[in-house]
Amino acid sequence: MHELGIMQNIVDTVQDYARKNNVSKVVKVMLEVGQVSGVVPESLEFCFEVCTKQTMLEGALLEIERIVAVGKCKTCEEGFDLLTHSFSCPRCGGTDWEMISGRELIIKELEVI
Amino acid sequence: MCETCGCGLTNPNVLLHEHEIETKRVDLEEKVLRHNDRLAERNRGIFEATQILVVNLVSSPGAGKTTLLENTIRALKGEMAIGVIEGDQQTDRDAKRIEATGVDVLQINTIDACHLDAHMIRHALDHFSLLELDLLFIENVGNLICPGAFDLGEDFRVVVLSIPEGEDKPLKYPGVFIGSHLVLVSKVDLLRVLELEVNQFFTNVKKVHPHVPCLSLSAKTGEGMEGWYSWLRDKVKAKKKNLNQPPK
Repeated sequence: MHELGIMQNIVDTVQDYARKNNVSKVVKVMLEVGQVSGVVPESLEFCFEVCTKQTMLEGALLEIERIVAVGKCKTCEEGFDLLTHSFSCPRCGGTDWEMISGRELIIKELEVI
Repeated sequence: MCETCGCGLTNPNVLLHEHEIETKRVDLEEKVLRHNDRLAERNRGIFEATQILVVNLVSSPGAGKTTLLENTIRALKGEMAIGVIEGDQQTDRDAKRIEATGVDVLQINTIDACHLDAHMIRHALDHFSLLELDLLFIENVGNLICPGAFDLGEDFRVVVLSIPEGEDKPLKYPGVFIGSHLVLVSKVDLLRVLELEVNQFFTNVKKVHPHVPCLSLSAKTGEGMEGWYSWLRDKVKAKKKNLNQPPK
């Protein structure tokens, strides 16, 4: 359960941006969270309210886009969902792949006033 | 002025009014852990300059990291200078065990945190005479999820997976295995008792991280420890010559 610390990082980063760019209020925060980033979106949502109290993010919406863990098969180059297909290529059965996405932990976009 | 919302409306009789507030979308594309990553890079610079090989040991609680370290230190301290940073939520039990082996050790108590971060490591480094060290172990907080997200500036992240945890752990907790550079399957002396095959563990590790090197060992019986020692010797030597590939 390190989501509280992670959320505090997010709030700090957003406030930092807001201060430097004359933003008076943040109304929406959009995150990208990879499936194997080790971070649970539900816990992030839970921590968001606590961490944004009495900040310029208070009352803002939190939108989390879950990024699927995708691997690219090194044998047939097929891109596939690693978790759904238990880490082996559904096209050729290959088990050697390169990770394309799934470890993201990014503040993607803000909506500000 | 409307006192509720601060707009310029002057007619005080209009109690309810709507606003078209213009919002602006901003592409931020900022890594959440950018601060940690930056400090980790700084640590990496220190380790580069001092030519210390740094190994971040990660596992579930009770996988045998400390016992592995005790035996490793006793076997290698005659040929290289070793330091240890111990991470636990509470107590200095592990630090005391390491201290008994005669090397320099610092305990970090994270209290609430479930992992070590680059900032804690930076401060811990002040405790050591870095120019005298060849190898620094960081024993992370026992946890198979959270430590995976935090770069400490280490050369290698080594995951210890013990036999009693079961062979399915890499599939259940892929994140930490995907980010590892070496996997040690430990407590292999228990394979017979638990009627398990070490290959089941290797297969599942390779499933989530196809090219990661794996070793099997038992700190208790000494089986397989020589392979781990030669891995460490090679990497320490390569670090002195700046030959190690930096981890991604």
